Amino acid sequence: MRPVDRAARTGSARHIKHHDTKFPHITLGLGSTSLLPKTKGPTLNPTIRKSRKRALALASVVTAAILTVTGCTSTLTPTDPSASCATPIDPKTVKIYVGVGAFASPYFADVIKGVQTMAKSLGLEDSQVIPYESNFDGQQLVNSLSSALSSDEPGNAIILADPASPAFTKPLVELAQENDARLVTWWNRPAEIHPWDTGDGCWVAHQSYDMVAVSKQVSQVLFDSFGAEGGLVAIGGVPDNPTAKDRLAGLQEALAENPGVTLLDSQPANWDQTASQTLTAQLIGKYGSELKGVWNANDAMGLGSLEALRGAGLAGVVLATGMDGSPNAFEALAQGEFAAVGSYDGLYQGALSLALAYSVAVGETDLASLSETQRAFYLETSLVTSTNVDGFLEAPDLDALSYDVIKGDFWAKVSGPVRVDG
Amino acid sequence: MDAATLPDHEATRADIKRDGVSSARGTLARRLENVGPLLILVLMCIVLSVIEPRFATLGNLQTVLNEAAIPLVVASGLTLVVLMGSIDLSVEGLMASCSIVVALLVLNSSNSLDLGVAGILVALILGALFGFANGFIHARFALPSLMVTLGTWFVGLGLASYLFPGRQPAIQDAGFRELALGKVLGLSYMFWIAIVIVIALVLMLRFTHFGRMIIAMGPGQAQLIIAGVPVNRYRIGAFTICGTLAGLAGIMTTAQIGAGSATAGADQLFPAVSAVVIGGTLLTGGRGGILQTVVGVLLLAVISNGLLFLGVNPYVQQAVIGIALIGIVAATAWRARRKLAVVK
Repeated sequence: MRPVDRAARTGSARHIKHHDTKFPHITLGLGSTSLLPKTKGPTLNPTIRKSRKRALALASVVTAAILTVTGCTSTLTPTDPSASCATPIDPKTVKIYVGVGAFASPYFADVIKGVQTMAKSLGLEDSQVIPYESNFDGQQLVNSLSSALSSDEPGNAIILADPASPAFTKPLVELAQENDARLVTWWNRPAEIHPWDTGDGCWVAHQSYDMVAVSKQVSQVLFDSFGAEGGLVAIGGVPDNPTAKDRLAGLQEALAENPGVTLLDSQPANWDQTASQTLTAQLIGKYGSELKGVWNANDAMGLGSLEALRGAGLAGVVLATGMDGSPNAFEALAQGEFAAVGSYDGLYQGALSLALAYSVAVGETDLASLSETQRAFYLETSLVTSTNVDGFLEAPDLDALSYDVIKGDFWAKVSGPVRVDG
Repeated sequence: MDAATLPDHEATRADIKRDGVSSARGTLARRLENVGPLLILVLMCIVLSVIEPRFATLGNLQTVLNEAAIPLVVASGLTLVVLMGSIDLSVEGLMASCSIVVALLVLNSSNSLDLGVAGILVALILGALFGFANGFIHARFALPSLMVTLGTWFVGLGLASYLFPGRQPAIQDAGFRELALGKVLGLSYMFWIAIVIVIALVLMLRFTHFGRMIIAMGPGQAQLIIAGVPVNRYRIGAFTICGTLAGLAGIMTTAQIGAGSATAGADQLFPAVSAVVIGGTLLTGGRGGILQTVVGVLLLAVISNGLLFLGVNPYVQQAVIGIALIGIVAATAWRARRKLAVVK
């Protein structure tokens, strides 16, 4: 097992997902201020008109103050339309923007740490790495990066980001192009655009993981834990999320090869630990002894399911699974409460992405010479089970994340080209 | 207050004396309003038991009640605030920060601290401080509770993200885990804690000056101010209790999932507001109570559990829940619909 694979990684790739409003109509209730009696403009009495004017004036002053404080007034310099990421960056002043789903996700915390470790190895200052969180809202990320980039000199930035959904990949690429910034995207990309045909050389690469393959492996280990005869339930991520769909597709592929195994129920818990705990507790009540295993689309939900099993006295009897590779999931594996965990390495992902973008940006690597597989690729994933978990519980070897090691072969851990829209 | 709303106001004053669903007085319509949600709950349980026999087992009843413990605590605290005609949107943020704080203070996998009960108290105090800040800023500076608590929601989430260590803190304090795993009559200690809180709040609203003032503030704060009642004090008090209970809910969530989580409060706010409203508490305040909220929480718990047992497609479940809620509110609060037009 490679040292970097042992990274102290994550709870969940996306365990903090969009707030999934279970009761959307209530927002109508909260937002019902429109039902307040309306005051018609022309009949406003002078006092109200005066107070409105005053409020408007106050609002303008406050807005102006905010703009001044945040420096927005000085950021209206137009970007150079002819920019095409041809000029090398200046390592002393380059800014590295890292766009992640959430800071409080152990996986994304690792990705940021990986970027910081690589930056250090490149001799950059800590302050040159600037992380942003999208809260899994691509628009929010594009807005934040847009404001940040507009105050920089064009042509001196690297963006490494998860667009949160394929819908925001193109806006992110266009943003990079407008600001002459090098971009590496993670996880989300629509099928029709690629780094080599979009972005005019600014979109260096897209990197993801083959979730279908590793999910299938994890599912098989879970089936084997109960002799591949019996029923299981699946706890999925946010239903319309491509990663969640891929992971379920892996489960379905495994099911097709195991006719003795029945999927009793498949419910979404939106990547959330608490929601998964609640859901699994109810599914245990519904299926009782029919239930032989609990498949989960990420570690956070796996740990939630495990607690529901523990509450029912079934921990270690009915096994759960995870996906991501967080230390807590590895410990559950070591305790014999998880059957398997699909793991991918956030630290390496962050380090490699910066290394590749940097190498291109300083002119060490010629983008035109790279193949399509070298610009849209899956990194290796690992199947972690009780037999190999010990290696993953050790502290990660940060020395392996140095630029000198990684630049030897940027694609050393590539498992293949990105299939369609991963 | 215009003349049109006066009759309701008169009825509201009567309600002040009799929080709860057991009222023997009032018109038939009002009585229906009070017991309507309870009737729907009973009816729903009967129908579900007939359609799906597995629903009506003791084990499933225990599961529903255990899972209702945290929503009960959140919604009970929220009821106090809604009774005053205000709203507290910050509960999710408070739950998140209190979850991380308690997880980092009791025996855990991220640091060497082992404060035990003291750790729980610190988290509760944090919740109380957040609640106090909500109430103080809202009352002292006359800012809408909606905006103030929206702000503290994000402060809470931000604090949770800031305190979150690189690795999720797993709870290793066995005593703390007992809150969720220890059981009496098949029901977790957390459920019994929720029951104690419900009873305490019902008694407080019914028998204490503080409780009666909270209910009176909903429809008639102006009159109370004229009468020289220090309304701000009660307002801050109610928000502080709500914050403390949100903190407690965060602590309970931590015990339940066995780890501190920056998403401990995710998806708790809107179900809690829904439970308060479908129980029969008006968003304009002054009418309703804790027991109504209990019925509201149980209704939601039974609906989601029932849909799961009926095997309703998960993609359709949320829509069904939404439609059911609108139906319940429309059916039980028809008379009061005019009052719902304004949210303070």
